[in-house]
Amino acid sequence: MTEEVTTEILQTHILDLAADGKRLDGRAPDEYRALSLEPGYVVTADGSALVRLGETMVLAGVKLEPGKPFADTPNAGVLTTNAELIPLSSPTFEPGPPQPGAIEVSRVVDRAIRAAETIDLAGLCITPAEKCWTCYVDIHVLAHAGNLIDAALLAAATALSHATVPAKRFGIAEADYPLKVHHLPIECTFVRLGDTIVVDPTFDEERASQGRLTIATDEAGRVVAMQKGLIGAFSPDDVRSLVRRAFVHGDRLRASVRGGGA
Amino acid sequence: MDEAGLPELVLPGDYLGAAEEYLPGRGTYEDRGRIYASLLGRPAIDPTDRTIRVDPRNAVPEIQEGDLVYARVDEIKTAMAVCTVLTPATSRRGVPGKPEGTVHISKAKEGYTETLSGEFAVGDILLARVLQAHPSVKLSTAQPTLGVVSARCQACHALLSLGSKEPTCPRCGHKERRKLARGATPLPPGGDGSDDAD
Amino acid sequence: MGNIGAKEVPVLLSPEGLRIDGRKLDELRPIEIRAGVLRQADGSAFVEWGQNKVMAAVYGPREVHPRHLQQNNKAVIQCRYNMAAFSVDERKRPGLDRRSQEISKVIAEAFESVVFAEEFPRTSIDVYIEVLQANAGTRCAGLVAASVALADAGIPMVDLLPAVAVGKVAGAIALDLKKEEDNFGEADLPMALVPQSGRLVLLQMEGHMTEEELSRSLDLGVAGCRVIYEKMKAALRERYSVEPVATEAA
Repeated sequence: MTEEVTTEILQTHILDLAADGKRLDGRAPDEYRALSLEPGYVVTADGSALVRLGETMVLAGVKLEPGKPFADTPNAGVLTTNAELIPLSSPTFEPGPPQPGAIEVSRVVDRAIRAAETIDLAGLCITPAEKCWTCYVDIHVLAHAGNLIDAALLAAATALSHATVPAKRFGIAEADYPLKVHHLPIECTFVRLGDTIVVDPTFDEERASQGRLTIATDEAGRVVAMQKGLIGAFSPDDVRSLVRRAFVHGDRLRASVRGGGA
Repeated sequence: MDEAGLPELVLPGDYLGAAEEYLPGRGTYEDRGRIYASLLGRPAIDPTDRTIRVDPRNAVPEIQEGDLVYARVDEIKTAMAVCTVLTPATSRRGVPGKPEGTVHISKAKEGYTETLSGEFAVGDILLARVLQAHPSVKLSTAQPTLGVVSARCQACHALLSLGSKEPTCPRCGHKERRKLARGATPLPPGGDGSDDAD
Repeated sequence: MGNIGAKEVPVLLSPEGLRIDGRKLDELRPIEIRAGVLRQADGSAFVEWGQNKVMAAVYGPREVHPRHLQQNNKAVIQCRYNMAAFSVDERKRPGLDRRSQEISKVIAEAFESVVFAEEFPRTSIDVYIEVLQANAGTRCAGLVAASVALADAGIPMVDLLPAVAVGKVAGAIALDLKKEEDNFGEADLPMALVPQSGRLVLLQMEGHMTEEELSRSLDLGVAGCRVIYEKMKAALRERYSVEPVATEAA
């Protein structure tokens, strides 16, 4: 692939454009790419969603299975989030053990879901200290065109919002019932391109960037997770202004997730 | 089957004609007296020697004389710069095997070149024209639009700003010398979120 | 859903000779194929076949990783068949298990039998197959997707590789098993055909069949492959937007 060439040549170009407040794909610095959500994409999952954010494509699947609660939380269910950056999704990914990038996506998404109290873990307790539901959120990145963290959480949140607890299948209750979802966290990622900070970076913008900041917010007006990544730095004032922008994007994106469509 | 009777698109495995009638060309193969397509593309017949070939769509890139290519400088010798040919300027795909190519000191720029290290540095990306594709790849940057399109600071490794006459490091202010490609550098297709033309 | 709830063998074949989903014995499930679905890949395809959803991408010819697999006279074809954790009823642990590794190997060897690999020495052609939703026959669906992706990537080869499984359900030979038939049936025989030569480059079998049943199964599978072959070609023609042409009688 031309990855090496694109990286070098486009970097210069992206930074030059950003100095004038422009972007390679014609977006404004604070403009998010088109988002489409397809809940229920996978029938073998208890909840699922295919998310397209520009050219980025992420599929999340939720599975619930009876398991054993952790000793220190005997009255709560278990939540496990896992992201796979499979080599199909980018010329830059190689097969092999999970890369730090995949682990970072998993953990940042997991933190937002946990901290926002997206699902009621206590409600997933079946018999205290003995039996509870384990909720697996598996995130499969199909096309990496930038901003995987936001796309992964959008996919996970949509999948959880449409998930069913398979209580009948496992002989735990008479009927299956919808998984209760409380707060919906939305992550919003920015990258620095010189003095300009742009939202929802493409793959090439991430490569050219001097620092990435992800801010997760919920509808209760709380910041629930943050992650600074890549090489570069942000001032406290940068952070304050990006938090403001993250709330605005968060509200809009959350409405899409609640609406369950585009 | 004559030129006019050929379909617009053939797929691997499609029968093209009998071996008594045609010679199997590029993108085809012969099996027991029959010629088939091996590539997805448009079939064509060369009337001079009755060769039937398939001009591929989405072809695996190969280097041909006269092509513009991107190449990375790996080593600078007295009389030549040794490069790795990365990709044709018109393709988003890499050249398989990333072959070695060389820029001779006489082909580095228009006019006389004292020393190559005043024109290129290891790690630079060049836009170059292929003078010879086989048996070895020979490149030229001796045109105003050809030369270095991306370079890093020798002192601090930041990307140099190539806009001015003298490449300057935006981070440490270090000034360097390069044979720069002047004019609009063609962006690699597909790198900007736009759709590929095929 | 799945084995958990199914305590007894369902009726796999009606007295009228219809299958659990109403198909005749020689009938395929609905298949939809799309070529060129992933921009970042050199070639790609998506196959929805019954309730299977499978995506394939091809990268290369490119540098070989790991290096020691490089061959001086030809390209190596590396295949990775993987199932998403949520693609099956009971969550699958992420990563390649022994089954996935075996399937990856036989699919890679099927492609090595038809790709003109000697045109690209010292490179790798990487074929990635991701099963997003599984309902029996995923290796065949994956192989079909990967074959279309290879053609989309401009890789030279003898022919496209259609594939299908034939099985034995309630004593009858049936084309293209779905999950219940696979779980409770008596045999499963996946195969991939080179239409140009009429030869098979993937062939596996599990279960029990008589010599006569096996012989009929091969004929049924080859006929099924020929139907799938036309769908693969149609998908590639659509991708490169050309009206279907009447194929010349060979």
